[in-house]
Amino acid sequence: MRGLMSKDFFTLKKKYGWTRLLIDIAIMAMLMFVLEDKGALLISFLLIPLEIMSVVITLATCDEQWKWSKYAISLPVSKKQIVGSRYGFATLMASTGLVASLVVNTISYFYFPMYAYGFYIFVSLASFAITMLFVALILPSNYSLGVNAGFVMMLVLLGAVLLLGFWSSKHENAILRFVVDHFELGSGIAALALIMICGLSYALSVSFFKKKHA
Amino acid sequence: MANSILEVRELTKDYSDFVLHNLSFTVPRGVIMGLIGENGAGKSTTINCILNAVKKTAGQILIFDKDHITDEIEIKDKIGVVFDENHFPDIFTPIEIGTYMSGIYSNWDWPAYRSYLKQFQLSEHKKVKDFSRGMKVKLAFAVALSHKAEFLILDEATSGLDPIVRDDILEILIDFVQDENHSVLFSSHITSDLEKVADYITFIHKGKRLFSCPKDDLMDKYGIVSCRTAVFALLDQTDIVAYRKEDYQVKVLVRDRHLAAKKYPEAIVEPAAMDDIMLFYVRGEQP
Repeated sequence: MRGLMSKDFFTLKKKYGWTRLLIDIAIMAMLMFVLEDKGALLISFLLIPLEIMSVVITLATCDEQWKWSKYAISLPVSKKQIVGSRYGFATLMASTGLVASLVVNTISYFYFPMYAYGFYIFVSLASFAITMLFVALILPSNYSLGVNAGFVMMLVLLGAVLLLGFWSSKHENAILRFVVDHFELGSGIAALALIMICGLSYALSVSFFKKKHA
Repeated sequence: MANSILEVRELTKDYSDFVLHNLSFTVPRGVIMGLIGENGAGKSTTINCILNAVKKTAGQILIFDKDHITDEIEIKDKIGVVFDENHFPDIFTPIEIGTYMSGIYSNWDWPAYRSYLKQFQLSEHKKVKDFSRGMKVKLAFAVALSHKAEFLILDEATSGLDPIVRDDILEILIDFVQDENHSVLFSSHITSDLEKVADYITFIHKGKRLFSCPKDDLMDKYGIVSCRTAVFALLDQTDIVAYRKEDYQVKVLVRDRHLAAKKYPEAIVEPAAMDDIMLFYVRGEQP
């Protein structure tokens, strides 16, 4: 598993590199500077999930290009481990996104204080949850129908986020108000649902991968 | 320790349009087993079943005397595999490949890996995409040999390579089986390579095993009888494996050329090359 995740890390390093990281940081800084308090929300709910999804799709594209799965199967790793390592790496990426989101939200709290700090932490955790949800939907699409399906799924999810954001802002932040009104129950249900979706996603991906090599 | 490294028993894989049917053969320790057959005969399917890359329909596969599915990871830790094409990320360098392979194989041997890279004249820091096809195959061998593998599986690994590189690779294989606990399963349709290095030959045709025997027996016993049609009509049918009619003569593949030379003094009997044997079995007419 460690070796497979190292391979993903090297791929990411080679495909993205420091330049991409600096561009990402510059985009984040610019969004915060231009949009002020709304910048952190946009970064957390759109930019970070988008970037993590793009990483996952890039890794799948490279694997397909290199016909990696054929070789991976000859290595001393199980099919579950091959799929599991991709989920592990995506979770690692989502955690990095969480840290980035926490940094952005903390800066936003100090420079454009609109809410209590707890709200900003919540936004970061929600960003992590959204990223994981997206990963959980993209990976089985990749394993069942290939990279293009994952890419289409990414576009659909982005569209859904934009629509929800637009709808919420038209209805006096309906989503935010719903979350505040039902915070504890809502968070609990969301966390449980996310764990279940991720578990189901992993099981589906393993099943698709095994079917492909049956 | 078991005498055989690989035992394939009545292996069947049923795709709707192709069936690998009841294939059985054994790879003893310390030998190179050549797996021959025309394209689409079932060589790669056999290897994919051995590696559990595809699910077999029936049969049993034992590697190191263990079931290839139950003990899959333990078994694969001691197997090196080289395919016909490069599967390494082409943006990686050999050192980066070694780094992640060291996290996959429990017995990864860095000094051995570096030594193979040096021996094969592969730059440690050059990207795989800048390597020639021969260099990529050598890199695959360096990886396959650097984790104390006892069994090498080669799936058309030498196809598309020039004779110099192929010769280098054959030398690697001969070196590898100097240790009598090591074996190689070498699938190829370049029969001249197998004539040079193989100890045993298993021939698959249309998903069925035609024979599996020591190469020397094959080369020593099989022969081509060249004769006129009139003489051909007098040949004992049981001596004939297959025949091909040419303009003025008939060429006949026989299992025992020494016997044929005695029985048919009016015919010309020559040793059969592996290519001839394959060609007669695949293209020849049955008596």
